[in-house]
Amino acid sequence: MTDTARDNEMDEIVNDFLIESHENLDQLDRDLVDLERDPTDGERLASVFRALHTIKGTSGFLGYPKLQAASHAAESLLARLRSGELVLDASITSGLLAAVDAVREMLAAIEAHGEEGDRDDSALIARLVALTEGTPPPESGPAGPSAAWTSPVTEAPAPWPASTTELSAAWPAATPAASGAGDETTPAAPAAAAPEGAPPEAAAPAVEVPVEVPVAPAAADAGPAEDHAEHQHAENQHAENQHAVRKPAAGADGAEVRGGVADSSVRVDVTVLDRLVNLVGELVLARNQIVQHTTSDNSSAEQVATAQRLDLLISELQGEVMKTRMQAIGTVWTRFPRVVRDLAVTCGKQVRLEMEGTDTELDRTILEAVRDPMLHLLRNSVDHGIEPADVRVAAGKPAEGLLVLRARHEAGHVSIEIVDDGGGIDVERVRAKAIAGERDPDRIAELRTMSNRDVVDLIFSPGLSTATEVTNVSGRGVGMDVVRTHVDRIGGTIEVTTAAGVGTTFKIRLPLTLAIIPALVVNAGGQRYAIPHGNVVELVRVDAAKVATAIEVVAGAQVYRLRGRLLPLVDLGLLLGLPSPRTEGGPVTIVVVHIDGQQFGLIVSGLSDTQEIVVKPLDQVAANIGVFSGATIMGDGGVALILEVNGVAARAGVLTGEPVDDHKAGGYQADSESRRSLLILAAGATHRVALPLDDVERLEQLSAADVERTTNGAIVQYRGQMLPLVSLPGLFGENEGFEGMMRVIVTTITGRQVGLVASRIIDIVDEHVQVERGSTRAGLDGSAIIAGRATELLDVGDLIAAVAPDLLASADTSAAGTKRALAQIGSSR
Amino acid sequence: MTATTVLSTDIHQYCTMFVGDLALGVEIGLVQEIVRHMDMTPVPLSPPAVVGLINLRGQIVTAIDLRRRLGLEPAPEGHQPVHVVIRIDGRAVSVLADRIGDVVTTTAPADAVPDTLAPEVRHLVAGVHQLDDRLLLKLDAAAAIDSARLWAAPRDEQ
Repeated sequence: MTDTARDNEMDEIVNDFLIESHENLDQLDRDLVDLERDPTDGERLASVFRALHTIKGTSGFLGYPKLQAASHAAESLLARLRSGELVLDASITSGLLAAVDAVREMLAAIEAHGEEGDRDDSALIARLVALTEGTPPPESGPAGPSAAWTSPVTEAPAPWPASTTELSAAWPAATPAASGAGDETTPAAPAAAAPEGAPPEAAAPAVEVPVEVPVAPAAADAGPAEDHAEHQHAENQHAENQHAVRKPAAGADGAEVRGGVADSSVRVDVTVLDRLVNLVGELVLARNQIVQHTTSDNSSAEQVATAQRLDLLISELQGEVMKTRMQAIGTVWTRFPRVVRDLAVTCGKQVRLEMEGTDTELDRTILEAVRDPMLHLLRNSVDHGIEPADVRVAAGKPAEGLLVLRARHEAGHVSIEIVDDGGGIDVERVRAKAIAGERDPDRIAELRTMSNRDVVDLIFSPGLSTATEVTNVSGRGVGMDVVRTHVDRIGGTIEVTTAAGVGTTFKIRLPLTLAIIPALVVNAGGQRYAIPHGNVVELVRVDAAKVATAIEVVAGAQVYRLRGRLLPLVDLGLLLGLPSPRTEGGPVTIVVVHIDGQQFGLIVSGLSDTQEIVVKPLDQVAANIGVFSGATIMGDGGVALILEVNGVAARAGVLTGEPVDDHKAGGYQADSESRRSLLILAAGATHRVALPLDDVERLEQLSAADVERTTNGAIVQYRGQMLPLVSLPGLFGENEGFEGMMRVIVTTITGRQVGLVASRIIDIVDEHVQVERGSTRAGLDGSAIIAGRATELLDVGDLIAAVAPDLLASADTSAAGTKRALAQIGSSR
Repeated sequence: MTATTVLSTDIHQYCTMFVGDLALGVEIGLVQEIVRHMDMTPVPLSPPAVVGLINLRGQIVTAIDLRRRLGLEPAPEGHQPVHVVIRIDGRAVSVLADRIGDVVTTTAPADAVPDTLAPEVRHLVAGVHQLDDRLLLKLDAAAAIDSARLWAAPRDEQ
């Protein structure tokens, strides 16, 4: 680790760690003080625990053993507090605060010269261990530490604001090195002139004095105990002072004094960024108008030049402002391979990390918020998920475990998956653990009967860990709780799926509210709508001449035959209650979209543009419609709604819930259970029959008046061919149904087209078909429950053979004609 | 929200607006800004009172037709209503008024809403101030823009 620091180029991991830890430490100080006032505040305790846990975890990865040791000791103490075995009192608080101070000093040292420094924290750790074991060291009197902590705020004669003292206290070791920064050195002077009560040792290291000064009066009351604490603190400072003395040399060595981490990056409130983005958007619109006006003839050359300059500058400004928000997820992931590697080594495992979708852009606030959860999940997967090599080999898996990080934009969300091929989560152990930690009998009963899925979900509740022993890496049950808290906070969701022996997948879904996505802008019903690119499969334009034949109607629903598959169509205009985008006799534009592995086509009146859009949230009134995921502002300042393809599909009812596989083979099943696209037909009043959609060549409406009778049965003239007709109701002994306009399903058997006459076309479904074998009736493959109704499954070849065997016999003679017919069909696709 | 007795004797400051022949007041603290008419993007499938979305300096704001909410006749053809952008609990929604009036400061207490008002109006009025020259209906802004109520409003009423 330290090599990177020596390069005088601070590793970005360390940098981030420092920034974050400083913030955590400030929060810790506040929380601990508040906790002392109200030791029952469980949430605050949990917050303290998390903060220290994070510092400990990260310092472990980064290889700062002393930092890790100190934070580990403090965390152990906190763990006992959290479990209720200890109650926070003044001595514990001061112990924890001392730990926080030590951590802060080490961080300052790391920042100043890349190392923790050769310090000895054994006294501190011993003190923390003693506190953890419930044998408070004699030196900590109850009144002292709290007085020492709270008094500076209320009584201190310190002439500078408390925040400055905190700041300076935070950088004691760094002060000499960073002497260029005015703020950090200023406390020295007043400190030197500290009130008479201050112990002499304390006066020397100026930076700590503001905290120490007011202690003196309190110490007089508290007696020897307080003195002792004071003394110890002073000792620490003494050591640190020596440390500091060595440092100016280091600072002088460096060609330049490195600015503090805080100087190189500024944290900006997201609302400010939001406002900036919005304002720049407005600026762009104003710019457009100005540019428009100045290009007219009445402007002077000067005005035109100025307008062009403005144009250029604003474009640049816009680019930069947008950049402030977006970041590829890969920027965060770059550090993960190292983390995983180090961790795997620590755990004695072999793990390979694969990353997919590293260029997925995320709003930086979201990215920042999920960084820790991702790290936690990775850590968990390596520590708990992936088994040691010998176990893996014994289970027939490769010795090297595989960990996959996957990010992608998905239906208005960003999804991040962390997949391991480890042993999976032991559901029963989680259940047992949860029951063991529960006292409420009702809850225990509930846990016993809870579904596995819900049980697995329990790993996200606070305090539950399935690790048998607490390690440095994980096992205290704090990690998953933190993960969920973080993900929840940004409006995301996290799911876990696990299979014993196969692995575990964590899927984080994050809102896209802030993201910029590429989208296709379409027109329908006189309005513009944006469809996220991620949902768009392809664009199809059906020529006016072919519309009539290419777009067919099944049971009132339009379908389009796309490369042999019937694609359900949704008329976007009609769906939205607007005029249909289809014009009589005009071409039809279809946007083929997919969701959850299923596809359907959206009929739109035109395609506008493909562009990057900024997703803006919708008010709840509009969001409730369920068809729009947001809105965006177009180049002209107008608003366009963003279609939520999932919602569109649900509203239109085009999807039946199961993915469509690209199955080409006929028949209903490969195994006893399989998923097929089936055309469901009514045969007579009561019977339902189904046939594979793949067997369906075409759906026609033919007039019964055109039916001619031959010796071979009924036929119609169809596309210059004789199309033999087979009545499906007739199969079940009902009226043939050759009346009025007939629904005819054209299918091809051994090169010969046959028309099946149905009473009605009911639906197209995609379903798992569980075939009940053993139909005795010719032409039927069996029956199954489809869409809740018993349905006979047609075997077209068998049917024809049984009902009209001569049709098949005559097939060969008309093969040439059939070819011609097929050619016609092909050309109309 | 319907008060039955005198509500308060404090000082009230209202942004007044006119919708049909009604003078409505919105507590000044709830009004974020007033924007002259701008083009709106209709929201298909939305409740009828939702007339569209506007781009308010980059923020997408939903506009609600107060005439429809109050069960009044639609505004005459060609009339361009004013957007009164109300912000409640961080949610900004525009209500459309025919025109905007002055800011009125009154110490007159708000009286209970007379039962004789049309129910659509009564549901959205939280009280009545008797000003010197007219009655000012205190608009229950939260109710007027409440999502559930917008969805619940029967279509024929609007």
